[in-house]
Amino acid sequence: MTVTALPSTTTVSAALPGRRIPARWMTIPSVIYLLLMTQAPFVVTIYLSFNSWNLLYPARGVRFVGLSNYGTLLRDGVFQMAILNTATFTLVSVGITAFVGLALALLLDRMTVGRGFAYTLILAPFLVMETVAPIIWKNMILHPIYGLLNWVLGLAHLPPLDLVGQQPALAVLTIVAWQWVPFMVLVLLSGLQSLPNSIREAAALDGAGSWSNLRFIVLPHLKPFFAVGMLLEAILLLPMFGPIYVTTYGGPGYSTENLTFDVFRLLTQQYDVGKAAAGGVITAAITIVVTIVLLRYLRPTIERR
Amino acid sequence: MKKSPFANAAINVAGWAIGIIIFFPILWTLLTGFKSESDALAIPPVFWFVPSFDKYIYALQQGEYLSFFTNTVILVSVSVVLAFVLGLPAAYALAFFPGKRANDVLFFALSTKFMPGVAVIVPIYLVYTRLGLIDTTLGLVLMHVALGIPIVMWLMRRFFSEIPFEIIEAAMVDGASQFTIFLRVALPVSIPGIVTTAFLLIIMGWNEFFFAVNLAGRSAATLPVFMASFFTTEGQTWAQMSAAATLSIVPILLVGWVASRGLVRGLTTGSVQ
Repeated sequence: MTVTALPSTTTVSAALPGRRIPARWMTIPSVIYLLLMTQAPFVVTIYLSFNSWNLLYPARGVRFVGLSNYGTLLRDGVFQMAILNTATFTLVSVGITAFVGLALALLLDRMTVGRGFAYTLILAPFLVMETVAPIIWKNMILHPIYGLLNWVLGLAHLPPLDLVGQQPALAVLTIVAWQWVPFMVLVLLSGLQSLPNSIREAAALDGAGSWSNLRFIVLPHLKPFFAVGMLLEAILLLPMFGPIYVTTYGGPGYSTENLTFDVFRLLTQQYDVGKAAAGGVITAAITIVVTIVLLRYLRPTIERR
Repeated sequence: MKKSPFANAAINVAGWAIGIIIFFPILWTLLTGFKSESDALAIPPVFWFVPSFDKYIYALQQGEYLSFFTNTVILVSVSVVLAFVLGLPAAYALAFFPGKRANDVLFFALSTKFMPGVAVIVPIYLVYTRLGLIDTTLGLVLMHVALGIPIVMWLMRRFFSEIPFEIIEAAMVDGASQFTIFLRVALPVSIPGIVTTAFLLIIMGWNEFFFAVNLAGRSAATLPVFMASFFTTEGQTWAQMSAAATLSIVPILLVGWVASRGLVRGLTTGSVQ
């Protein structure tokens, strides 16, 4: 990736007075800070996950229980569903946003008048906080009685729809897609604009129609941009929290809980430190595996640039 | 490529239309904030009405909005400054004096960004409770600084790398210490990069929800936590809610729109130097 262009300066700095205070030390405060705030807590999380500890029952104290928290969680139907929901939410939202993002980026790329205006409007949902987007959608748009969607459906003589009530997962996905399509447009449009027009014109002169132009020139060129966009989006959406918290609060029942929400509930409602920690470790493990697999699969595409 | 004027016009109109449709929920929220509560709920929706500033004024004067706004502003500004204080020297060192471990340090920093919040929240919650940091702005600041440092390190390393190494070298020959060079030479020419990075940190800090709701649910709560409290659809005052929502997102929309131009400008000026 970008790490290759580091200047080699060891000889220069060795011969100069500046060497007395090695610049390398300047990284130490931030590295220590990150170790303290992220690595150390993660190690403690692993430790806590081997213990039975519930803050509601202080008399029971802290007991070492080995892997039993993991066993309980992985056999728990709610937790299994949370794993499945995490996968569904991540995959479907990445898929939808990549598809819609491509269509919009291609359209924006061809605009000749007012592209900046359209781009500005499309970018906006990405900047809206993840708790306000569901507030807007589930009230003003998707509300079964007062929402705009059902008013529009009624005008078109279509049956009304109660998305949050009937298809809560779909409601969450709609809201997440609205927020993340702009991100894909941003990434893919920068890819399209790095493709020299001359290449497309040359292909057109050689008789390539707009479809084969897209198929054989534009899409292959966009591949690394797709790879980066989808990788980042997957890693950022896997621990999604706000949209679920506000749209469904994990419900009805526990049906729309993902891993993050399940751990949040274990900690803040059941005060079960051991199980929450085990859930956190499982989530981290899944994230790490997904990241490594995606990187291994996507790295050749990204580095080919 | 040659296109018929008709096709061109169709593409442009389609682009504007889609832009407006995607932006519409935000526009509708802004408008609803100017309505009376009965107009806000009216079906068919009321498009023409006498705008009233009552809801916005209420939110700014008597409503809870202002205290959450203050919390958010303090949190974001302090944590952005601290993330720069810690991250900028690191970015400088990584850009000019990478050493053998530079890649390890960069990827370590990046890996902390990919760590899901639930992997660290339990001990942090326990320690914060013990130390009295729960529901304090200070506690949230400490967490947000950790979220910001990796971004400062990655982005600023790139911006610093665009400074010709000869400038740094010349200052070293003059006998300046690394710290002086960093402060007097590298920082002043990197202002566009710092601004771009700051915009990104502001957007992310302003909108951050997971740690905010877990570590500061009440008196130190930020705007995302406040807005999440509207999650029940029963008995809501939509005009009131819309005014608060608009006031919560508009500052960051403005920052984002400025930043999206600034990002391009920052990168181009960097490459011209």
